[in-house]
Amino acid sequence: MNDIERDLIRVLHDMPPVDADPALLDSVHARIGRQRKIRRFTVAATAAIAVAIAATVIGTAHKPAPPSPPVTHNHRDPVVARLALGQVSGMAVLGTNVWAFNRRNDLIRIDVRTNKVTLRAHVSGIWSATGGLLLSGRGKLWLAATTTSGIGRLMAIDPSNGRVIARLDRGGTCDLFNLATYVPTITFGAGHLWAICHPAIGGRYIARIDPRTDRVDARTPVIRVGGNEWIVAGPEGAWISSDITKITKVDPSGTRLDRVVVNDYRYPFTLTGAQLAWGAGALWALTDDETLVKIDPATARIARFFTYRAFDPNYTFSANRLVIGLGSIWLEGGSLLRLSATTGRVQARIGLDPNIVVVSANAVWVGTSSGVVRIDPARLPG
Amino acid sequence: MDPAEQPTFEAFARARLANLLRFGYALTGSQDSAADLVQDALVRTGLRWSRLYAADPEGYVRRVMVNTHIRWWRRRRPEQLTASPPDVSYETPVRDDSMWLLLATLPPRQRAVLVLRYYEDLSEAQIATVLGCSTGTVKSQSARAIGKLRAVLTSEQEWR
Repeated sequence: MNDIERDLIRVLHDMPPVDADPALLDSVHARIGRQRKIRRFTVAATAAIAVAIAATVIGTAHKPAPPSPPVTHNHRDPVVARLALGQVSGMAVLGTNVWAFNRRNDLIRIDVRTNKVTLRAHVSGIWSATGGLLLSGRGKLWLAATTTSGIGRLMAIDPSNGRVIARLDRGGTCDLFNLATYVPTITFGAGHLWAICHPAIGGRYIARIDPRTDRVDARTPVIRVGGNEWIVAGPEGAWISSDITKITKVDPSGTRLDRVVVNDYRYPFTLTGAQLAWGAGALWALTDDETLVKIDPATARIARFFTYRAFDPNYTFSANRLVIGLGSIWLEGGSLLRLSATTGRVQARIGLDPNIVVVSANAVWVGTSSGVVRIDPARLPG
Repeated sequence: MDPAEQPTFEAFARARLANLLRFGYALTGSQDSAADLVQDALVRTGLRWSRLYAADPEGYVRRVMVNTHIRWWRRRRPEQLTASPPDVSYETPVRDDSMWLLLATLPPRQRAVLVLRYYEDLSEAQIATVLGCSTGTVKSQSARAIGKLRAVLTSEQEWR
């Protein structure tokens, strides 16, 4: 148990006495009585109306109603393959393969043409409790994870045999300890890997990593990054959010901050700590209050936003992470939602509990606590 | 169960009122909001008592409280600026504890996860049941909440 947890227990168990006013119970009983009266009245009124309608229908019916058309369902089961691979924490698409990394520290290659496992390689020295993140780009594959000695490690993987061919521990002075926890602090885009670095000495910075050499080749100091950080890269550089900064952008050279997304105070959300995704030519943010925000990367201005009222009118979904692909927004959290990128409305809900979702050329791949599931989006509405 | 032996809703509500108010206070950070929350949850429980008393009525009340609080928070109106501030009839006592004040800055679902974990001492699976989400979501919400608290506390220490 760490210091924060101890402090939480102290503050929650050290609350001042609350005033248990008996009048509150009187109010509860009165409200229950009123509700029951309303229910009884509603039931009686509904029954009376039903009887009246039935009498009218019987009295005026001259011929039997035509039979109802058979009920038809247009969409089929969207799950086209299930692979039992254990608890999957990381996934990436590379060429005609999907790669998965499970909590047994196995790196698994799946051929998207056959849905078959074509390679399985064990990665040693990884702390399996936190899992690992997989990244792909420029024909290469990387695994970001925490070692058994607690060091953040970025590993370049040879996709032909699954072997580790290069290691980047701490990135020189970059402490990548949080690499494989729930919040991604490393991403691929604009031809490079980008990582948020917390050196033991000196200020925090964004490291740009050359995928050819697997070495840090540029740094951008960031003054206030911290908490739940999120980094995502688009074609024009990397975007970062944290609990104590709004969204900022590092230019493609990896040496300076060049844009800040302005969060108008009139909007009913805040962008601090937002989860980020890149897709459909825009930057997308999922805020802590479950609002989806589309940001124009050219102007760094908010183009649209969808609140839970649009995508979750029943308040039953707990948005946890978002992925953009195949013209849709895919929201994870207890189940998988497909949303229209135009209207923000739910087009389909898939009853899977995703740990991670990636999108290939024509399929959605869901990593779950028991393996990998392939979904055919053509079988879904939208 | 013999109907004569069935626990009555009145007895349940009277016995658990103080505990539920404390739970509501931990969730909302306000005694007034806690009272509103408990009242709403008890009304819903009372209306369903015949089906709930044999199961886990207190768990149901807490589940309703958590979900109602999240719903209220989602429906809240953004603050409106006004030229003439309203009269303040009394001072609401503010608890002078940095961790308590920080808890109030968390979104309600994250705060609920921490309250259920560290006040109610529930497991991740039990919290997932209360919140109607997966254990993965509970873990990530908990990690995000603690990360946020740590970031602000670290930031405060750096400024001192």
